[in-house]
Amino acid sequence: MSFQVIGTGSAAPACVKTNDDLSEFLETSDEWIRTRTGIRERRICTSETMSDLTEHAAKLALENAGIDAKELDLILCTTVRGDYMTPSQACVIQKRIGATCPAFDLNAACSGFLYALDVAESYFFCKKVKKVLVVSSEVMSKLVNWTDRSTCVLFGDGAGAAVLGEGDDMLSLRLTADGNWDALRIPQVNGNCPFGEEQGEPPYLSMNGQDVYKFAVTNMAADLTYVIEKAGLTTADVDYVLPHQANTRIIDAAAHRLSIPKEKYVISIDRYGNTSSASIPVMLDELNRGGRLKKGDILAMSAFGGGFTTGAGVLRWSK
Amino acid sequence: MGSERTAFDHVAKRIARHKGVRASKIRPQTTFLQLRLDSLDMVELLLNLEDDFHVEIEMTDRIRCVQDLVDCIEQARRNDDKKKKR
Repeated sequence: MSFQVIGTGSAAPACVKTNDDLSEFLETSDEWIRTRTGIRERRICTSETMSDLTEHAAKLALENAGIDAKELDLILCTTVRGDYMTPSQACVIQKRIGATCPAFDLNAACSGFLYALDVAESYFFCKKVKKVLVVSSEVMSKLVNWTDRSTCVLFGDGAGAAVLGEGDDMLSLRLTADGNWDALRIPQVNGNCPFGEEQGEPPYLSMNGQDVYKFAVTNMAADLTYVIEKAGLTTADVDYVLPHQANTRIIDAAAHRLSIPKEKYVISIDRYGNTSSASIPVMLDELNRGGRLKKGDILAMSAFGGGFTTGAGVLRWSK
Repeated sequence: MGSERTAFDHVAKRIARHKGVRASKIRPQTTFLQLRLDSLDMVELLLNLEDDFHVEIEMTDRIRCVQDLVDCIEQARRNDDKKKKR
């Protein structure tokens, strides 16, 4: 027994920054960013907080599901950094939407949404829940070094949410982890303890692009192949592929290794940049609200991220 | 794919397909800079060649031209052969 998706929602900050905007203070260009990543623009939080984005996405998802917040049995929020270290972002969401259920955060970086679906599936399997809210949100603009053109141009802010109900639509899921803090990390903030002997690193994202690219391409294709087969399906059965939106070249390279036509791959990186764990639920919401999904559609999702982590799964759409 | 010339031909064809250029234009001393392969192109190329030749290729700064890459592949294949003979 797994679950079915009964509602989706998403939210993005109002401020749009194009590649040209960034090249006003960075030594870069629209042509360079667009041809190497597929990104044209991204959303950046200015006056909005993550709590604003997550509340908005969650409320839209609840409305789409036709349920009240008080019907929720669990709230899972995936993020690499909420507005607070404590309370969890999930607890902030709980308060903001008027829910009364347990709530906790989960950090699997860009793979967070798939990790959260796996956790939710276990709760449904144990019959501990009937309604679960999953919210994935990142404010990457606060975590990148805006003087480092190799990283800051890649990311954006956003939130995606899904309400899950009882059902059997999560046909397969696969999670992996391969511990690595050299290739991709965001160090913690340091306090001012007078006894500390370590200075600590600046709390900005650093990344070895080549290592991440190699990991991503290798694992995305392998994970999708695995979960499609585990679901008892073939690539011909897949209606949409929702790949984590880190770089269109990663998606193209992975697609090259799979026999799924390129037009089935959903792309949002051009408008949002890499929103980490929010990228897949945002695409899911856009497909849902755009009327592109029909009952019975098969969606294959795949993500990879800091950890390293990967998550992949096949979801049947029943809404 | 037993001879170095054959390995070169294969690598040249892979590059040609990736960059949309003619393989006949690629020489052993053609650099990746001349071919306008950036760092991600190189990772993608190496991944494909690793699959093609069933070897592991380590990307280093020493690999600057096509012949450097062919030499790496041939060395990796020799190392593999030695391991199998033990």
